[in-house]
Amino acid sequence: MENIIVAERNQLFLDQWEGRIPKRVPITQQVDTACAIELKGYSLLREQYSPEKVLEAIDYTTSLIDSDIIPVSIAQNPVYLRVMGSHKFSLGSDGYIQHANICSMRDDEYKEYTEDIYYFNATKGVDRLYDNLTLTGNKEISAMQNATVLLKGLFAQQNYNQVFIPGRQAIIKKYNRSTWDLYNAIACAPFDTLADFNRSFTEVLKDIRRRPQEVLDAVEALTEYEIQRIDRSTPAEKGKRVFFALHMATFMRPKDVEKFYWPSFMKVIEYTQKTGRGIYVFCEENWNSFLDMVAELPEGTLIRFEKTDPKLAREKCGMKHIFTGFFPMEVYRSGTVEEAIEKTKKFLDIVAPGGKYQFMADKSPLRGRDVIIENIQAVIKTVQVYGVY
Amino acid sequence: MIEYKTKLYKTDEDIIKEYNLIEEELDYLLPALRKIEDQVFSILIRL
Repeated sequence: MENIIVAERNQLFLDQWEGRIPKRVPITQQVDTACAIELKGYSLLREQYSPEKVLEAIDYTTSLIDSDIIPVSIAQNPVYLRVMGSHKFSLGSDGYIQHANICSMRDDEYKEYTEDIYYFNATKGVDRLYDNLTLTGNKEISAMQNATVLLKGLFAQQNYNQVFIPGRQAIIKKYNRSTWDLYNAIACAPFDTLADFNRSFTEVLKDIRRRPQEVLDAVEALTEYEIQRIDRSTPAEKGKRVFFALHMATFMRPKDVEKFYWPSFMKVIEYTQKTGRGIYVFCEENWNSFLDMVAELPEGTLIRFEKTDPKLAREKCGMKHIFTGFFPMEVYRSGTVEEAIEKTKKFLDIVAPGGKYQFMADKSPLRGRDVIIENIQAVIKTVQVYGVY
Repeated sequence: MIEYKTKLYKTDEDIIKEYNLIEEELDYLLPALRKIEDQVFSILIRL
């Protein structure tokens, strides 16, 4: 049975899910795992590879940052990335895991890709994104290495998760954090999948000018691909949301967004809604020019913003959605505690009225240097007190 | 401890070389890779 603190925290989210004003603004601030490791005084080159040490860092960070949820987001497993020789997510020289702008599909391969995305990704895609593996047989890698690398990847995930997942759950319990998940599944806007995992951010922007029909055909095939991804995810349940991080729209011209990006994304959203799942959309960068489109998202959608104007967003969307984000992360890493408190109060005066806001900064602190502990603690304490309805 | 005389078995030195491990990675990454290599080896010798 959950204790009273956890029950109260869960209630904040349940109230918003069911359209009621919660007792206070829920706090969902999280930092990156790398940030937690560095706050603990550990190194990304050393302790990051040990799930036990990462859990120590998460425990320490949770003891410092009183979010309603566990304040450290889940990262990629670095042992797995090393075993597979991953390019897509790779470790920099300082051990930080980066999402690289990698092209795993040539521009003359659209037809082949569109005909069977799964097969393309499992063959050419794997060959180009992982150094240590070939599923086409076109790299100088022995059958023995192929077989063993696949096994090693499986063991890398198993070994890490066997320690990490129960350890993380124990920390949630130890610090009485909400058991409410921000999301339980991840999907993408079809155009983002093409950009993130196949053509790269830069190449796909050339493609929409040079081979628009092929891009549209790919995006149509990817719409079904994303719908199948949702079907494979956890079943619909109260409070469960599918997370979509929207990457490419703000780098595109509005007319290109209308043609290549938004219609297929909305098909996936409409399908998600039809299945009874909740929706969580992260509008990265500045969406001021696209808020009429954002307003089309279903009622109750949780929307995270970075640099978008919060007043304009509310003006365009009304009270249809729950918002999160907006708060400048800069307040966590510079300025005084007094300034942090003052900025938090002014910010809450804008976003809190109406009960449809969850507190989180515009960006997640990625490294230890992104956070002055006294500042983030002052901000969270202020939300806990000043954010009461 | 059994001393295996087969090229299927990788020593710590083999692992360090294969993954280009640097000094900072020897405390935690090497043991993680050692465990994985042993798991794979235990499968290979049973085939």
